Amino acid sequence: MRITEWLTPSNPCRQFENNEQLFQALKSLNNSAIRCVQNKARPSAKQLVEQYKLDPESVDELLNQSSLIFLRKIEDGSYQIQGHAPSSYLVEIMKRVALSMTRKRQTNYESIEDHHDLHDPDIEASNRQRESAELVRQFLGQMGEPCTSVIRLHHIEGYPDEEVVRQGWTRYTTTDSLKIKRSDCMKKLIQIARQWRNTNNI
Amino acid sequence: MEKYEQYLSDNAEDDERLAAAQVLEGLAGLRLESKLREVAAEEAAQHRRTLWRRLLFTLAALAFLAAVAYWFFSKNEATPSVPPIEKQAPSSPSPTKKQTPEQNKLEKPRENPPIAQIKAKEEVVVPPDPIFPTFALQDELIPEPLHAAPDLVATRGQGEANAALKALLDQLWYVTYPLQGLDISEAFPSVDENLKKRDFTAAYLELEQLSSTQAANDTLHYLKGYCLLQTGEGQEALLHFAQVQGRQLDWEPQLQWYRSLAMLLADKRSEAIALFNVIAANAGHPYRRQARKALKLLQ
Repeated sequence: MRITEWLTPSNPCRQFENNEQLFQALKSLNNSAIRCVQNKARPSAKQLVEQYKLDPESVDELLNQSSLIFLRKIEDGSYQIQGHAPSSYLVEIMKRVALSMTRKRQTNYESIEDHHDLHDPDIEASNRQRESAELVRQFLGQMGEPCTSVIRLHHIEGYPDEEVVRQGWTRYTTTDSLKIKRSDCMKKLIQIARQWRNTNNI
Repeated sequence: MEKYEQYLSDNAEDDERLAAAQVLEGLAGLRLESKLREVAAEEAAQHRRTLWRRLLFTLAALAFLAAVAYWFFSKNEATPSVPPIEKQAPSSPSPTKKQTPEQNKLEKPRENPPIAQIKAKEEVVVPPDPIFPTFALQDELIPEPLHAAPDLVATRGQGEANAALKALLDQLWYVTYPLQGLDISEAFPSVDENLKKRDFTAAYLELEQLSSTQAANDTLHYLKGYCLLQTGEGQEALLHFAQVQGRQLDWEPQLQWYRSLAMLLADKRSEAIALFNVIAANAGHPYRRQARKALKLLQ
């Protein structure tokens, strides 16, 4: 290893030979792939923050919010690679998010109705998902153990059942018993959500 | 397909399916948020690791530079004290024949010894004394007398010969008080005081009074002779000095010198020269240098 390589941060993009490989890694939420596109898009994020006169500390927020939208679009299949670099698409999303952040800042002083025609479907979907995530977090808190851990390990942190059983992170010693319990917990979570929706007339 | 999914697809009501969709959407959002937090933590750890590596590298580089500097300066300090040329075997029978011109250039400074050595050598190689070749010139380097010889006009009258004698004696008047080997501060304190004040007449008168009350002794003779010498009475001084000559070993060297001066005052030049020769020939005599000076002046 050269001394210059040892002294500089490792390049996460090095393991991806082309954009197709990078896209496939992004679909499986590979950490290096996410770091790769974020590192490539970070200079643009700084530029946009300056250009839209946003708070200089909002670079990370802009990058994270845009990455969430980008990854969700990859996950639901609405983004398909067409020869362009995935980071280019992330930069495009960042532009729209930066504009949205600017509008949000302006609505602090003006009425929201004045800007109802400036909505962005991707950002609205992202906001909706964020609200749902916040609700699920509350519901999981209401459920308590072992449901919280069983659902978190599989649906949020993405560990395979075999790993959870092997590591002994729950009281369940077989994958079957773990799956049965998780299914029960999911039914319970859905019922809590259903009750909440009925209560709020949604 | 898990059981709850099958339940949703088979028996669930519409509002139940909508609630399930919202839960799945929320879980997906939580999963993405969790993943992005993980990536951010990984990135931060990577930056920290790089920062530590840079810091470590900087410290290692500084330590290396310090070591090189220490080695360099310590080597420079050590080099001048051991010239390379001295490392050659000194027993070489003919080193100059094999030396290159560069080596000769290097060796030249060694041919010029330090100033201190030059001075020492110069002192050693001075020409021999014409009168006493065995004595070194450095023995002649004595200071001028502290006091002038007594005024001879009162005792001997004016005249060229007296003036010449006065000039000669002025250069040789190494006559000091107290006398060597004789302490009279307790026995004759008044005389002692007068002699210290160089009032030789008063001292002599006191000594005369003392002589009338007590038997003559060596001390009184020596003191009287000294007072007479200091007043220019050479002949009279010699009489007193003769009384104590060879009687007190401690006094003898100084007495010899004072006798020689008294001889000059008494116009006994040849006797004085003889005594100067005796004194000068004695390597341990405290007045040998003065005697050699006298002999040179009397040539």
